Amino acid sequence: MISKCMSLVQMGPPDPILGVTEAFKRDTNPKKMNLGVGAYRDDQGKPFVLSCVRKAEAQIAAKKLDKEYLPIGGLAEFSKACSQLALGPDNEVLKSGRSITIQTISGTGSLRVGANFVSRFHNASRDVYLPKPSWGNHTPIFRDAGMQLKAYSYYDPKTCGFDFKGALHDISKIPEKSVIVLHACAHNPTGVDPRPEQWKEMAALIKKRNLLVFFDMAYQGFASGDIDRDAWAVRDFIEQGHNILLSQSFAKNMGLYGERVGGFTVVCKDVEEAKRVESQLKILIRPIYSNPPMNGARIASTILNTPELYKEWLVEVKDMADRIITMREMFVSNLKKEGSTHNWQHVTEQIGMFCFTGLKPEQVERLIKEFSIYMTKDGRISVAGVTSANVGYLAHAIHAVTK
Amino acid sequence: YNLLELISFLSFFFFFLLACYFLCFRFFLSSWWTEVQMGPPDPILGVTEAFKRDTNSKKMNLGVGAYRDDNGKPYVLSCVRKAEALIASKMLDKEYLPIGGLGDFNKACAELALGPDSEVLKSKRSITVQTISGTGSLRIGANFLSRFHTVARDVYLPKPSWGNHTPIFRDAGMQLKAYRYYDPATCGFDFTGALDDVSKIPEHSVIMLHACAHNPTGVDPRPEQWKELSAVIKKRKLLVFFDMAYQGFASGDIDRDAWAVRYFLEQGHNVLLSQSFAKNMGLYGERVGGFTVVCADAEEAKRVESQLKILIRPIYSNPPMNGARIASTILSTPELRSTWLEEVKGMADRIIKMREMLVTNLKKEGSTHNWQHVIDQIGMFCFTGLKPEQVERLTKEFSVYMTKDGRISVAGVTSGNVGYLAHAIHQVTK
Repeated sequence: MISKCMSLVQMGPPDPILGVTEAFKRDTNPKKMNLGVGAYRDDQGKPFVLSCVRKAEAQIAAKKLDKEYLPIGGLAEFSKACSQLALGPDNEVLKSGRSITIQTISGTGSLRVGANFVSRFHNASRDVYLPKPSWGNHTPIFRDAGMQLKAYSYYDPKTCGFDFKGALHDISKIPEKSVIVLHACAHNPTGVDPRPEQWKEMAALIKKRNLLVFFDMAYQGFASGDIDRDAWAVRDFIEQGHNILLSQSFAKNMGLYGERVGGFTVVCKDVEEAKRVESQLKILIRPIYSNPPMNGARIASTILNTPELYKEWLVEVKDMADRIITMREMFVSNLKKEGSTHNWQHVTEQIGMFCFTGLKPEQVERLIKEFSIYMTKDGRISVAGVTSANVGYLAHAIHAVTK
Repeated sequence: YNLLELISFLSFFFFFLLACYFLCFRFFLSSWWTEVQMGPPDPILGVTEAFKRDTNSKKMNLGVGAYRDDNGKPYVLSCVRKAEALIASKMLDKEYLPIGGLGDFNKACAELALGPDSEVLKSKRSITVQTISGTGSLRIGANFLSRFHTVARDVYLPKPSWGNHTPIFRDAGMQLKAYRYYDPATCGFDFTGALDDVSKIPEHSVIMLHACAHNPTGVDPRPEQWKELSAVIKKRKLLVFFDMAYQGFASGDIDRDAWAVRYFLEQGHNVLLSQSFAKNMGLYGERVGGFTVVCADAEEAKRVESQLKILIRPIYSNPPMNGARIASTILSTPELRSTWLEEVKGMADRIIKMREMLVTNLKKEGSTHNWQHVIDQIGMFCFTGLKPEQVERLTKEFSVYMTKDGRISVAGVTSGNVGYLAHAIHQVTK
């Protein structure tokens, strides 16, 4: 009976990124490198738990708190600090109370709640415009929520940089009231971000087209090392009058990956609208998971709300960003030392955890087979997987397949 | 003079238009959510809100769906604290769990429900994924059914059922229907009505069963009744979805509480199963649960697993680690598991004792009503049989808070307040 139904369930395609890690694990080459991993590694190639996180955990443990359910919208102190981090504590939006921020299951959970909300309440349009390319999971998130996916030009493979003209051109044609997803900083997977003056033009054009802006900010602090600088685009758009949707993640910038800490914000017209939106977000969330997990939110909240821990966090997130930037520089100088004549400027111009090397699938294939260097087929590497010990080998291998 | 007037008028008019334009433009731009209505307030939350505002020192909150100790305080299990200390000392990292969650947790979770000697587990013909407690598990199941159980859209819930079941299945795209379950005349199980309704359910429909400690009534079928239900359900070829949120918490015995689930499996039902560790391990806010699909064979289980992952990834990518580590540590560390079994029995026993004390006190008060159902019902909740007007009086005159359907959380009763509760209930029912 039920077997008949289940027999129609097909084996799903294997996850592309997981496949990289699986193959990496099987490889016995001592020089192997896993550059698929989307998680920060220290200079020994090890996972890194921030010291401010350990301290926050100790503080929390000492309080012997109970484990009662959080409210549907999550830990209030967390949500408040989360929105302040993104918008800046003096933001007019926060002062007027015209936004609602709820705790979510990291960035993915935030995007999905947003997608579901848009699907249910944004009746003016079913279309969500993603940059080309975008994070792979954006597509199923919006699609499973009932939205239609479209794209606007973003990455220019010729320059390995931002296709500003192409983006403006495409955006100028987006039908009014469509949803447009913007990566706030450290674009995933390309690492290519617009410059401030480019953001300004985009903001003006998007306003003209009357689009609903949905910012995905998964790397605040992690991109440049400066939390205000990384949030600049979000804040500028709000100043320009865009009432945005915003997803935040603390997976990378606080290293809280598996604790699943994130926030979803809706900037509204006024307090009254924010209250209506909040009530509907709760109605939407209750039948998905009832209320969010407490542990990570308590850690993040403790860090954001305890001055010494907050300071320490800013230093640690800057260190992570700096190490990434250093690896980019070492990578390029090693390539030059190897004798590569290609232009690798984009490696140091791109920002954040990922780098679109510009390598072709055949070259990626060779890197895997001949050098045990693993990355996704699109030539994306996680710079977090590069260390001062293996950057030379990486440069050597890449030179070998591109000379 | 007239020309000047005209010019100033025109300039004013021009700027007026400009101002209107910008105002309207900003207004227009700023109003994405004008059509969003204020949602209805949560009924249970409303009870707690009113309770908090009440200044009566004798007030009782019997709406709360969380265990309280005999001092009315939230209770963190000692095995949980020990597990936390063990985990902290390991200085583990915080890397992402797999999409399906912590492998050790999933294994222990399935074993707890099915029993370690389960043929299903031995043949590896089931898949268990870690979920965001019971709600997350039910929703994953609902989404999975919606996507793959294309032969039927209908989900049959017992009448009544947990309030959140309805929006869970509805938002997942299923249709809700019901079968008789609770008999208000007896405050017990409407066995005849249930069999009658179940026998008429169209083939291949999904039927939701509460494994133990039915929420909100506390009314569970007896084993021989479960056997008959199983036979009718099999005959109707229904897809069984068990919701087990109270294993161990109902009778105090984890095997006894899982009996119906295991019996159905023995009878050949390939069930869907949601488990929660919110109550039985007191892990409420850590959000620990499991979702299991029992399949025809290992190959089918692999296919189902791959599709569950594809479904989960765009909802939350991977589940929260902390609670799963705690639960896994408890289930797989012999001393902690023993402690846990004692503590969960302790919680269940306290609830059972409060039920008995409530009835004893009601008799002492002089009540002539039959309160047997209070003792016959099981788990955290008790359907008192009180009518809305009586509930209203309890709230207004005695500051005793419960939901309008007369449901009380026995967890909110203590030896310190059971006398007051009995007195109040007698007053509104004599």
